[in-house]
Amino acid sequence: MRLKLRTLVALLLALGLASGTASATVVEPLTLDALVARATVVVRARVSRLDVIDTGGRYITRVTLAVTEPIKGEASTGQTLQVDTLGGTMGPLSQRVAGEARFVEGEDVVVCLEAVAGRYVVVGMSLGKFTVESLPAGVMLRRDITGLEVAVAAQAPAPARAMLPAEVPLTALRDLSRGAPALAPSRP
Amino acid sequence: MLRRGVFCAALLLAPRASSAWTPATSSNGQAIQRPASAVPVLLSDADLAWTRAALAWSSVTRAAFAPVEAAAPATPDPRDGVTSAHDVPTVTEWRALVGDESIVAFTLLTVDTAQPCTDACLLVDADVVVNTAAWRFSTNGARDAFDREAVLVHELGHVLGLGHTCIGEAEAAACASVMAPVVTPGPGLLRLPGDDDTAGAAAWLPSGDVVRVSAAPGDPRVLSGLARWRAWRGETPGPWTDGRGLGPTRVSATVDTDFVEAWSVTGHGVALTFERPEAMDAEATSLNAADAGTAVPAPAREPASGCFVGPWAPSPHFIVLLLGPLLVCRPAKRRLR
Repeated sequence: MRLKLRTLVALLLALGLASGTASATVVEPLTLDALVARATVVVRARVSRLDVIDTGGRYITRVTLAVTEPIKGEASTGQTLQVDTLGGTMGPLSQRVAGEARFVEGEDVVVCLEAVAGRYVVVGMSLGKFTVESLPAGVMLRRDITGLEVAVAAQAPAPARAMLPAEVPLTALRDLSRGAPALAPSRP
Repeated sequence: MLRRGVFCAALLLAPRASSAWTPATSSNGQAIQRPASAVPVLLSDADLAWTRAALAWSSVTRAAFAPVEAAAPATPDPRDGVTSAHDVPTVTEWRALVGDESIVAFTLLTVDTAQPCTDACLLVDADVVVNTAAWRFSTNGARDAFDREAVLVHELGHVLGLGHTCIGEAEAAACASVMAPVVTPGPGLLRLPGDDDTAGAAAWLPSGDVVRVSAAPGDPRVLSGLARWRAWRGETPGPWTDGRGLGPTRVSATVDTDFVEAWSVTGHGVALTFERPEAMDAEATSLNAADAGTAVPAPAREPASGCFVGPWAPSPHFIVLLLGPLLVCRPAKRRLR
């Protein structure tokens, strides 16, 4: 009961934060299985380094991850992966894309990564990046998707955000990764 | 009268509405606010949806955007200080620029972090990037495509410093705001800022100066977007076509330094009333549009819906919950949806 209450409080807190303020990147609402299906690799990793790179005026934050658990795809424990995210801070300017995945050095994360044009990016921006939290009930993955505006393919806006839980158990992601189905995206 | 009283009393007693506007924030929770002057926005006759989107905000927010004429950069330039829209038409380009094709559109915000962000970080540049490589967009209401103008109006709301509203499921289902967090294909999306958006702009933008527009059916704030821009630049009168097959329209206007004081549109059968906050008691410039000599009666001074919000508003919630019922106040009507 105590655990359930704790989880409930955490969930309510997450929902409370989610309903606060936001700005938008419009994104396809990829469900958990869609995220895993689209990912080239899914790994649990520790953020070891953040570098901001200026690419013709646009900043990219290159995140170096040290893999601690390969979950899907060709990755091994101890391997380092580099992931590019949009935005970053350099000198007096800071560039931000709402909804982009944000990393902190030392953070324990699970990420769904797609190999694109010779680099890794996070699938669905902050949809595909989870912070790992060890609770007595098990390891939970939490994500902050407040900066995302959901694009739904049909006239059913209400359930769209409910499809995207803020918190999932790590075991659920592991299970999905074992038999990740091929994805047939339907786009307007 | 009784119904109005009951509604206004309900407003007074209501807690803060969950559909109320919010400021845009960065992911660390810090608010982003635009500079005190109008945001330079790159406009072009080649992109009417973008032009109309910018002017949709300018019609409710004095000097929200200032038009800039220049060649559009090939790719978003976060240092040019000009807000612009960029379509990325090929998968190769999108993959090089962004990577993930599940992204439909986003806005790259550049903020000044040299200044301490006490209340809000100052925005120095914003560029909207649209993934036309993987997603279909439409300007004519196609059911299987996203309405480009509505998406751009939403993104420009963020450029002005507004965040999402109508967060809950019930609110989202009946949301009359362009800042709703869900976008669907087809013609149902709002292209014009609603009352809550206007209230947010009034309270949040540094200028805080709001012009309320009441409009007859076929709301001309969209229909005459390009005409307004041209009038703004002093290129009036002149024939133009708005790109929706409505035919040529003539525009005449009186232009002051940064905003059209008075203007009229012929050809759409519309009538407008501008109410300027600083002179709301003394004058409301009524403009009649005539089509083939048929005069269209001007609407009453009272806004079409909602409560008038002036530049002196300490906060929109204060206005809506306390002062709203004391002023001209009627239930907001749902628009378009």
